[in-house]
Formats: sequence, C-alpha cells, structure tokens
Amino acid sequence: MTLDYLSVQSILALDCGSTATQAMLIDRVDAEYRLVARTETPSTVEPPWNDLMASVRQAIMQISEITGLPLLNRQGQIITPQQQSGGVDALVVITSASPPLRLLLAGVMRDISLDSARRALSNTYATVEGLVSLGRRVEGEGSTNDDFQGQVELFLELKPDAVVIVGGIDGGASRPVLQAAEAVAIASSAMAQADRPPIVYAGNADLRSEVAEIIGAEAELRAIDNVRPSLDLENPGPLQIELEELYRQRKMGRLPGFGTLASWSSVPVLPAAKAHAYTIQYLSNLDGINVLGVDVGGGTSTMTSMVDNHLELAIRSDLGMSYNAARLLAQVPSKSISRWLPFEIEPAEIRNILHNKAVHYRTLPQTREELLLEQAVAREILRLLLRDMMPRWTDGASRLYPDLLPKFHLIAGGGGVLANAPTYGQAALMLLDALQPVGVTGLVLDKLRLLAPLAAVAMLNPLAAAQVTEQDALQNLGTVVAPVGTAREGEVALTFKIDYDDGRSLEVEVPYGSLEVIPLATGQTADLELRPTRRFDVGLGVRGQAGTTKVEGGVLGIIIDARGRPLPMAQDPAEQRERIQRWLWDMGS
Amino acid sequence: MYYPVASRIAAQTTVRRERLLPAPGQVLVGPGEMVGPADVVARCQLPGEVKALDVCRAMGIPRSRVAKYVRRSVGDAVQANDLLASPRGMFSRFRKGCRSPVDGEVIEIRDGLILIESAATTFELRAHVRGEVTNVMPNRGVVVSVSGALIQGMWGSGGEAEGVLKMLVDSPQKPLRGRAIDVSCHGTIVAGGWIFDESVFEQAVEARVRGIIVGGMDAELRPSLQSLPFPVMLTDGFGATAMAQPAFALLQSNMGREALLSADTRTRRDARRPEVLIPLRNGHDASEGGPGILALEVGAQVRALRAPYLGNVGTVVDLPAQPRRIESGARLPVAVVELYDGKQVSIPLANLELIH
Repeated sequence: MTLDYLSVQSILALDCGSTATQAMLIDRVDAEYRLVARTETPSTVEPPWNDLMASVRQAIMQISEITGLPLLNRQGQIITPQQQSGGVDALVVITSASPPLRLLLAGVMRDISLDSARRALSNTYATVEGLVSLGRRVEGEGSTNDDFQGQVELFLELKPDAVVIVGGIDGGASRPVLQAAEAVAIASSAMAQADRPPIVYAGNADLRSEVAEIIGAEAELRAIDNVRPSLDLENPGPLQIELEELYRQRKMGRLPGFGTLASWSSVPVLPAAKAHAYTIQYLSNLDGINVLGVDVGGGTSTMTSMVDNHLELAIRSDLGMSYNAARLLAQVPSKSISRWLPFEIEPAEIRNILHNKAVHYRTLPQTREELLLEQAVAREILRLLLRDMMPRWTDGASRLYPDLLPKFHLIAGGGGVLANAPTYGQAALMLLDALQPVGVTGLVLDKLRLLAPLAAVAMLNPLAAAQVTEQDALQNLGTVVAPVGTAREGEVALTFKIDYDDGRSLEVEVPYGSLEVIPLATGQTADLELRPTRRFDVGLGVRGQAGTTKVEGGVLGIIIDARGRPLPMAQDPAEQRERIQRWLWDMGS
Repeated sequence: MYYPVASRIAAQTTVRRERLLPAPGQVLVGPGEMVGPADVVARCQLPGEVKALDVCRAMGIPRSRVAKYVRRSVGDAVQANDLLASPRGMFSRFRKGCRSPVDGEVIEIRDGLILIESAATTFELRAHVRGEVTNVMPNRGVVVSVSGALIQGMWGSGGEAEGVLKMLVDSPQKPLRGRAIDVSCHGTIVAGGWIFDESVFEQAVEARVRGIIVGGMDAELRPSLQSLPFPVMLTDGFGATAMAQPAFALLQSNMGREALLSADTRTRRDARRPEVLIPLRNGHDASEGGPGILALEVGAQVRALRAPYLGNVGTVVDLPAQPRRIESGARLPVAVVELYDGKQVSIPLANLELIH
C-alpha cells in the first residue's frame, strides 16, 4: 500500500515488546501533529493467549476509550482510513517481542575477520551461541580448537538458527575457511532436511564457488560480501542486512499474530532497536550534534551512538530487566551490582531477587531496596553495553580521552527502568553513574517510549514524526557539566557562573567529589561560564581552559558532576554505600 | 479490567493433560479407557544420536591420504568397537585403528570424518496421571482427564515423578532439613517449607525419594538440581520463602496419597508451570474449566509475587481506580489485599497472581 504522506492525518503507532504493548495515536492538533493518546498493556505473545493481537487490540481499545473514537470494527479489524465514524489513516508497527537469532559463528583463528563479524553481529538481534575458531582454543562460548570432530559435534548439539562462516581477507587464507565449510556441510547432512539452518558465508570472496560446492545441496547457502575484505577495511553492512532478513523471516514473522499485525501496517514492521537507532540518527542530524541513545528494555538492551556523523549500534539480546534479569549474574559478579546500593545486601539475596524477577518478569519493585537494586542492575547493563561500544569509537575530535565516553551533546535514556523511575533524579543518576559523560551534555528521557515508534511514523509521514519528536517525545532532564581530572576531595575543581535570562547571575565554586543540582526550569536557558582549575578539563580537551556555553533547563536543571572521571569507587564497601546514599540525596532521591 | 497471571491451588478439580510424543508414532489407548501413571499410552521411534569421528586425528594421518584407510561405506551397519579405519602395509601393526564408539549406521564419510547415527530407540510415553483418556490425537498423543487436588508451583526442574506424598514439617515456615529425610521417605514425594541447604539433596538421594516440593530454595542451589535423579518443585520462588498457606494446607491434608509431580518449567513462549496433582476419586468436582483468562475482582484470592509480601496469600478487598504511591516512591495501580493475618496492604497489580 502506498500512501501520500500529506493525506495521512492520523497515525496509530504500535510498539509490541515482549512484556508490554503500547499504542500511540498521533493526529493533527491545530496546525501541528501531536501525540493525542498513549496506552500500554501487558503483551499477550505468550500462553495462555499465544496471540500478539490480543494485547494489540486491548491497547487500541483503550485508545478508543480515551479519545471516544472507535478504531476497531465489530470484527476487531482496524478501521482505515479515518472516517467520520472513527478509524485512523494509517498504522505503523515496531516490535522487539521475538527471541534473537541463535548463531554459530565459524571463522579462522587469530583472524581479524572474527572480530569484524562479532562487531557486525552485535548490531543485530542475534546471539553467538557457539564459536568454531580453527587453530586455537578460544575460552567460553562453546568454542573448539582445530578439531574437526568437535566442530561437527558442537553444531549438532547447538542446533543454531543460522551459521555464519567468515574468514580470510579477499584473496587470503583458504584452507581453514574451506575446512569450516566442510564441518558445517557434514554436520548439516546429519540433520533432517527441514531442521538444517541456513548458512551465511561472509568470508574470502575468492572462495565463494568452492564453499558453494562444499555445501552443495546440504543446506541453504547465502553468500554475501566479505565482512573483512582487506586488512584495513571492515564491511559489516551486507552481513547485518542478511541477518536482519533472517530475523524478520524466522523470528519476527513467526510471532503468533504477526501476520495480521503486518497486514494492518502501512509500512514494513521495524525491529525496535533499528527504529530507535533511526531516531537517534535523526536527532543527531537535526542539530549536527553527537547523540547517545540507550534503551534498557525487558528482554533486550541497546545503545546507539552518533559520533562525528558516524552511527554505531550495539544490541544485547541477553541483557534486560525482565526474563533476562538473572543472566546478568553470569557476566558480572554480584558485588558489581551491590556497589551501586546505599545499603548492605548479601550476594545470595541479589541472586534470589533476580531469579524471582526472571520468573515473574512483569512484576515491579514495591520496596525502595528492590527499586534501587533494579536501578543498580540497569547501571551494570549500561556498563556492559558501553564495554561493547568503547572499541568502536575511533579517535577523533570527539574522543578526548581513550578510556572515557566521547563528547556527547545529548544523551537520551529509555526503557522501563529509566522511564518509570519514581524520580527524575534517579533516572539522571543511573545515566551519569553508568555512562559517565564528559564536558557539557544535555540529558533527556524517552519517558513515553516514543523514540523508536516515531522512526516507523517517519517512514510514513516525516513531518508528523519530526513535530511529535520535538513537542512530545522527550522529557528534558537538564544539562550536566562533568569536568575530567582528579584532585583531593574537597579541592576546587571549577568555578562556574550562570547568567540567567532574567538578568540574575550566580557564581559557585565546585569542590572535587561533589554532585550538585542548580535549578533551571524547562524552557529556560542560561549562559554558563566554566572556569576549571588547572587539573580539570570541562570538555574542551585542554585542562584549565575556560569556556562559555548556553545551556537549556529541564525538570532537574543544571547538574554539576564533579565526582571525577572515571567515577571513583571507594574500596571500603561501607564508604561506598555512604557515597551512593549521598549521591542519591544530592539528586533529590 | 486487569487480567493477572493465574495459578491453581484447588482441593478438587478436573484437569486435562495432554501427553504428546516427541515424534510421530502410535497411540496405544482409545477414548474412554482408564489409565494409570505407569501405563504406556503411546510409542514412537526416536532417531539415534549422531557421533562424529575424525579418522585423521585418531590415526595421525593427513586428510589427503585418509581415503585409503577407511574400511566402511555409507549405509554400513556397525557395532560398537567395530574397526572403521585401519592402517595398511608393513607398519600397520604399529599404528592404531579407528573404532566405532556406538552401534549404528554410517551416514556420512567425508574428508576423514565419519558420522555414525546410533540405532533408533523406542520412546514410550507414559500416562503420568491416573484418569480417563478423553481425546486421542492420532500419531501424536492423548488427553487424559483426572479429578483431584492441583497445586501449580513457580519453578521446578527434573521431569516427572509419582509417589506417596509425605509432609516433613508441621508449618509452612519451617525449613526442610536433611536430617528429616530418612529411610521412611523411600519412594515418597517429600514436602517442606523451604530447602535449608544442600544436605537435603544428599539425604534425599540416599533415601531414594521420588521428588521434593517446597516453598523456596536459594537460587545458588539450582546447578545442584541438574544431577538429581528426581524432580524438585518450588511453590513460591527463590530464597528462604515459606510455602503459601493454601498450598501447604492442601498438601498436608493429602498426606499418604499418591501424588504426580511434573516439575519442568518454561517461561515465556511455550510456557509451562510445574504442578503436583493428587488424584481423588471422591468429593465434589469443581472442574478446571480450561486454562481460562480471569479478571482481577474484589473477593479474588491472590498471592503476592514480590517483597515485602512475597508468598503472602490474601483476598482483594478493594481495587482503587487511581494509582497509589507505594513504598518505592512510584505511583502504580494497586489492589488492597487483606492478608491471612487480617492486615490490609496495597500491592501493585503487576505483583499479584490470581489463585483459583
């Protein structure tokens, strides 16, 4: 269906997650597109419903209750285009309800193509369940060494959704690549025809015909461009596109009820992480700024960055706040979680709470202790995403310090744990503690979880998406100023002067180790003069250099985070708990 | 209207349980037949496991020369320890051959790798429950209906078991300790408040119990369960969590009766809850009435799924129209629940499970 976007006045956007389904109605209000109503209901993709459409219809009916506008007909079908009696002009959908693709990755030992493939895969809804690396033992991930028999057995044991073979630059190594293909072909031959996973070959292009010959009729082969065509060139695009296609076909397409939902949608259904990335890219391009978007979801967490016009996306389908909650414990020790808590807690208690959360993944923390524990988990999820992302940010104008975050002008936080934090101070503190921005950065919250669905809206009506993004999508928390440097606790790190629009001004000395919030209301701006002492840099790349900037207010205002970068953590757990409590108080929590 | 997750703790109900083969096969019973837990209701052939054998590696020969050492062809039947490849020539007695690890059939020989599919095995599907076959799905399995008490749990693992029910504590708050399990527990399914420590498993293995039902258990013990020869079910969750009073009372009142425990749990898609079923021939039958999707209403019996009321059971006395601020500081839709001790508390709707 092709729609002229000017004829599309009302749009219903649906976000079908694994735990929640959202419906958002966008319509023209006066001369602008605005968010008119938004509803959320628990997803019904699982038993006893086993049908995505049950929660979709419930969320839509709730929109009808709010607006008084019937959107479904008596048969439960969407009414489109909008008529006098009800309906909408168009409907768009994003989803993250499908499980990720389970992959077996086969490559050549010590070959940089394996790293390239991993980077490409981290950009998709896929998890590497097994690694066949010829020639050396790689710890973890069920990897094998140069062991033909082991490779075949690993393949048969894992029964992956797809196999990715990489290896060798174009014109480079051949024997190990062909051996990997042999192992995959032999293992495929031992499986029933219907169970054989497709094989994606993204290795040495010169070997394509030989690989095709080896695989033969044993399995479906998809040969694409080399993920690492030369030593100095990485080409992740074709592999990512191929895996996205597989994800759409084999995961999204098999969600119960997906067929009906897709037939309602005016544009192809978008995976939520991709949609989120598109909007972050839009925000970056809009003002020519560096933007970091994070989303800590129920089953999947993502980080999207636009640094110096370069997009990077990291998807972790194994990290989330609901049924994946306990999986975090396999990646970080419990003390990494408890270091973010202002109270003492036994590792066993953390483990039990997270395992219970994994079983009852729709539950919400009722006590302050469990709320802060979930916020601590979110910090660690963000730290792991950051660890994935760090090597991808290349040195450049925005990468002032190799071990710290590049300079971002804007950080957008999203996902239930951030969006539903009882106080804005808690949401801001999660972002500051986990990401540790440097210099001057705006903080916004995707409180209504609109950023990702708006990318799907933009495919249909870019004007509507742009206007809703500007007016309704983001809750401005404020601006953070974070000097980089170290000193003794209490020593002056910087002096700053605020000149408010109404002529008032304020000058404050900020001691190292402090976290302060200076109110500046949403919609107000102020001129900020920053004069760091000689050991501190306020994001200009030079210690001691003063600067001025115009900052926007927010629900919190201006946050001066002089706690140091990287954020110092006390060795003594009691002292660390005291610090965390102080930081929570400083942020009004 | 809010539709919470639901759980069954019923003194007398009729349940229908699908018993399905893992592969197409033959159903051995017909509609109306009465079956017992150990009765085989269907049977199928399961393909054998595929074993890979790297001849080059085993014999230390290059892949390019391996063909002349292989002595078997695709399609050959082999028995465990049969010679698959062996050296030839004057030095043959100094080099070891390569033998089949299993009985089976050679299904592939390629590049020095031999794949052997072990012989197919017969899978026999037992009824697991005592009841009447009410539906037959040709080649796939049956539905067995059974009347009795039913308790659905939160988590479990270890498959299925049948045994006489034995409660080893007199209060749901009391832990199940290893020393409480003795020879008198042989062949029984034992129950207690919560698992005190790993010694419970050691004693249970020694006493040859058939299963364990408790309110809670430390999540750290999860890996230990994998090696146990019997299933374990948690009725309420991880941690030193007492068993919910209605579940405890029901188990206690059925001590000495045959119980059927299905502990395997799956969350999300293909979700499956662990359960214990106690077949009862007499009494009023309240009927399960299908899985049902029930709305939360005043008067409903509920169980709290999170602290500070985790495991507490009570009755909904009010469903406020507006969200309320709770201890965490968040404003959430809540239900006012009267707990067993008469105390009324507000619990977020998301943290409630309907018991029916």
